[in-house]
Amino acid sequence: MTLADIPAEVRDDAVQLLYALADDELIMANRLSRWVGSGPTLEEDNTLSSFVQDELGHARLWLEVIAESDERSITALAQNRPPEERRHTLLVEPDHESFADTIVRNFLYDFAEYRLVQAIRDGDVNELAARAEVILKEEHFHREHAEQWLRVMSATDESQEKLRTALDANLPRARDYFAFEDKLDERLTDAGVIDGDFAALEDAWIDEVASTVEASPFDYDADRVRETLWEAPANNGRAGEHTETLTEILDNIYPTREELYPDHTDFDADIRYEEKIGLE
Amino acid sequence: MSDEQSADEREEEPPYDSQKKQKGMFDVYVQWKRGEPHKHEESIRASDLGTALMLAKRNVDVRLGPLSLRVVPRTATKTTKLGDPTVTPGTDRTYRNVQGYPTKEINPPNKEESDKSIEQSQFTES
Repeated sequence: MTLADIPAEVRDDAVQLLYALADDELIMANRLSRWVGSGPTLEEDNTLSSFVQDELGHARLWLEVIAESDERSITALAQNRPPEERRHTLLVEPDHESFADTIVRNFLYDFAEYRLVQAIRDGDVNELAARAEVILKEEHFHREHAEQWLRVMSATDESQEKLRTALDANLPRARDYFAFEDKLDERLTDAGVIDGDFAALEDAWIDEVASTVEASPFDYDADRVRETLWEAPANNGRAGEHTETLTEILDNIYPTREELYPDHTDFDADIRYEEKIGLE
Repeated sequence: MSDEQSADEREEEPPYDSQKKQKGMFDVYVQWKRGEPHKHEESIRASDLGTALMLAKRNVDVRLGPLSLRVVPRTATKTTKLGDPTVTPGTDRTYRNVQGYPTKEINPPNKEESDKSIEQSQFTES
């Protein structure tokens, strides 16, 4: 089954889901890119930089599907959409305060994303399933990275304390990851876009997060993880509720030429001219 | 300075690959093709073996498609000192080169005699 085969209204719902996935990746990549050149070690700096490339690549994979039925380009979709149109979870939005913060955020985010992308891979829409398969190949390592650092950072009292602080801060923000509209859930499941419903995915994710925390050498109450994640989100990023930080992020992303010169149309001529005079 | 004194000094000075200096260093070996050996690619710094293997996965060129990675703690290896005479003994000794042994006479009168001279030289020179 392809996207064209599913009913038009469900296709809109699928696009909403893809916006959420793409925005998650875009903002996550933007936040992680702040580590480039200032990672705790050279090796970890390289690793986080490769994560940025991964996440931007994944965002592109989803935006390509959206752009097929949209007149805007992929770049315009990524950069020129106003904050209220963004659908990413609040978990990825705030600036990373410490390395422990980054690890905990990667841990919560990558485990949740893994579940959702897996559900799309097991769904019936071929073009989405194929893209999900590509993404999952890289997500295996993202999970391994988070798990390994959780173990390493359990080594000292200081790092354990930092992990606990980071969990306290990030668990409430992660509540909205699966907080999609109910009708979206029903339609996407019925149409076979995702295998299973969001509630079941969320259950599995919370269980996995709690059991990983329980099995980790640092002390953190696993029941507290379950209780915090089960509560309804105070602000829902999936419904377009975002903080001021998002405006700052979008202001710092360099606007596209389309946005800078709305009346100018022949951008290909500009590119040809730049190539002629040897501009990169 | 006599030979005895210099030998003592060699023992007292810390070895080149001292445990303290090399702690946290890991050597990364990569297998690029099936059937080929793991080749030394780079060295990385990490807190433990598991982290070293994890970091190695994104510190080798993944675009070239590595098949298998191996990390070895530097402390588990021992390296000789540069210019160690036990590793690189003098190469100017004729007995280290095959030319040092008269294996056959120049312009042998006939084959039988030449073979005989080779047998003899093997017994006499060793």
